[in-house]
Amino acid sequence: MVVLQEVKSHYGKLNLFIDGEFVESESTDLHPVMNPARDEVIAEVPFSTKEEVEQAIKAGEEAFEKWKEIPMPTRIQYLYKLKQVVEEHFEEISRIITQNHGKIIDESRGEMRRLVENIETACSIAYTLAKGEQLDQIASGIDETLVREPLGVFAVIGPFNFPAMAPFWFIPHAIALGCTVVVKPSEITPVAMSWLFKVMEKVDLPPGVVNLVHGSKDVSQTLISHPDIKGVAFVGSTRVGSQVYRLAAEHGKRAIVQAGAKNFIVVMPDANLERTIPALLTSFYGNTGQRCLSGANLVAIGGIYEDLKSKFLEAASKLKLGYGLDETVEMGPVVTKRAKERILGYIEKGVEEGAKLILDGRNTKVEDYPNGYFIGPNIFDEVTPDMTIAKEEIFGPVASIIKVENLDEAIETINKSNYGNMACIFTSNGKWAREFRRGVQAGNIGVNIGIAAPMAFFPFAGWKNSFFGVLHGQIDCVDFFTDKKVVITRWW
Amino acid sequence: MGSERLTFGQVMNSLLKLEEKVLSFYKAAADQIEHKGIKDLFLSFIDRGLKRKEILIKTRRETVTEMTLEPITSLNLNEKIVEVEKEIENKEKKPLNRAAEIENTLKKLYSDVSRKITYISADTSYLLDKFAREHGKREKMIKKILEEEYDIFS
Repeated sequence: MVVLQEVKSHYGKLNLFIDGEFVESESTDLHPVMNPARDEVIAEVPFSTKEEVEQAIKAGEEAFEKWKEIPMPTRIQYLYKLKQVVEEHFEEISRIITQNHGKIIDESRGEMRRLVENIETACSIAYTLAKGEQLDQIASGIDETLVREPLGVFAVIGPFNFPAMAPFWFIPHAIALGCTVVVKPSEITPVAMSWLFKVMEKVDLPPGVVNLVHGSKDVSQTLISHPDIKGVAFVGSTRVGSQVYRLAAEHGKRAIVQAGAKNFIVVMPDANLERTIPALLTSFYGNTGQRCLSGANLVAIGGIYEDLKSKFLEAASKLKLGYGLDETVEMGPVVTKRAKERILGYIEKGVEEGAKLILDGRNTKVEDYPNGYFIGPNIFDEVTPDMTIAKEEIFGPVASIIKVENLDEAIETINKSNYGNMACIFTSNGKWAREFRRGVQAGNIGVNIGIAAPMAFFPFAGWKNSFFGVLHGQIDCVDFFTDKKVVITRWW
Repeated sequence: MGSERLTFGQVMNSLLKLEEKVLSFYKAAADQIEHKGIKDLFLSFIDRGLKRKEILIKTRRETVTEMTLEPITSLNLNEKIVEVEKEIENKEKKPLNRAAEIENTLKKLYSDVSRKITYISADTSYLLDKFAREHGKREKMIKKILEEEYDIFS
């Protein structure tokens, strides 16, 4: 076993970044930040005071007045430089993500790749989609023009599960379009974003364009309700997301709220199981199931049920658990002790409700990491759609097999869910795939793909309780961070 | 699914370590050999080896896609690496003969890994195929020297 070296064993008390400088928080409300594989403290995060949050917003507001006047080609140069420095620090940030979140190093590298992809996309869309429109001669001697103007300071509130990537669905787009941001990473996994701000310092963005605060609910509320914040981009659970959306609406703010999920993966009788099983493993157990695009319910259609069940069970039972910095490891721990307890609670509930636990990961131990928050892969069989484990988001390594007779029944089952983030089908039949794509009420669809994660140049879709708002993350940000101005002109 | 199940990072890391071992072999061989042409050839392999390590690291960084982070099976990579290591350690043969065997084994290894990794990362597959071709060319060059200048080593 070779474990990649950690960047640091302890990152100290995390600083804030306000008006172009790292500042030590005056807050006495300090919280430990953990390495979930080792159950060790790797940093302390101070929950910012109200005054600190207001300073960050003020810095963003003051910077906005100057930043929006910087020509776009010049603003884009900062992003090119940002891409370059992030690439230079790619591996170290990947390792920090693994150290703080627990996901395996390949998953952290994948997250970082997506982060870079968002910077690249922001550069390209700023030049194209942000251009505006013009139509000459709408009436005699009159022309009409649409221009986009940046709105101001935005709050970006990140989730624990993609601590680096998710805020970058928004940050580079905001910068490119002339806005400024105050970022609040998850209090559970704040180290990667803190490190990214150190890296961003090398870009020499004008003071106040990007700001960093730390905290939890109170800090989010201060941000969202502040009159100078023009909107909030949030990624997290449906429970918190709906609160964020309500608060934003109450204060007249625009909001992108990407929320939770309960994703169905349908396997048709003609699916190529040799290729399907590895895809199912990453879908259900990648990121230890803590992903809004994780598979949760495995829907077996008709005759494939027995074969699918036995092959999936065999493959899942061989997954190697451990510290994600060991490259041979296939699944890391869950993020906190509390998350582990919550997931175990759901497994208990599944057993109580009559589902058959055919793979039990509850007592899995990892020899070198006895205190880590590990749960092995779990598979429930004989699950019915009305059971709690089939309806609620578990956000852990738990798969529920639901047997149905045909595709229509599968689509009907999926559409009864309160969530609509992702739905996937594995089949060799194009007609079934098409029916599925058109019939399911979900925003991200996979055909022979277990994690249908849209690239940065597409919106990160999501329906029903998996999303609140109108515009989605990633490319939709052009509309989110700008407002339209229509100019009708006549000269004589 | 086969018995050996590897992560993408594990495959790339194993290839990086292998490149290190091959580099060490050519460094040691270049030190031993007095024939200028062969020494220069080995030194060129070392230069290229250093560059290849950088390319592998860059490829690992730039081609990882979470959508296809599926376990890689049926590669038998460890077995293949052991074969290369055996050739490197085989002190009974002269360096040039060992080099020819090493290049032959590496050609097969990279070609095979390239084919089997396509569904994970087409870019990586393309790169490894390029490496396989490089080894094929090197093998030919070494064999030509062995045929033409056999008396040097006899």
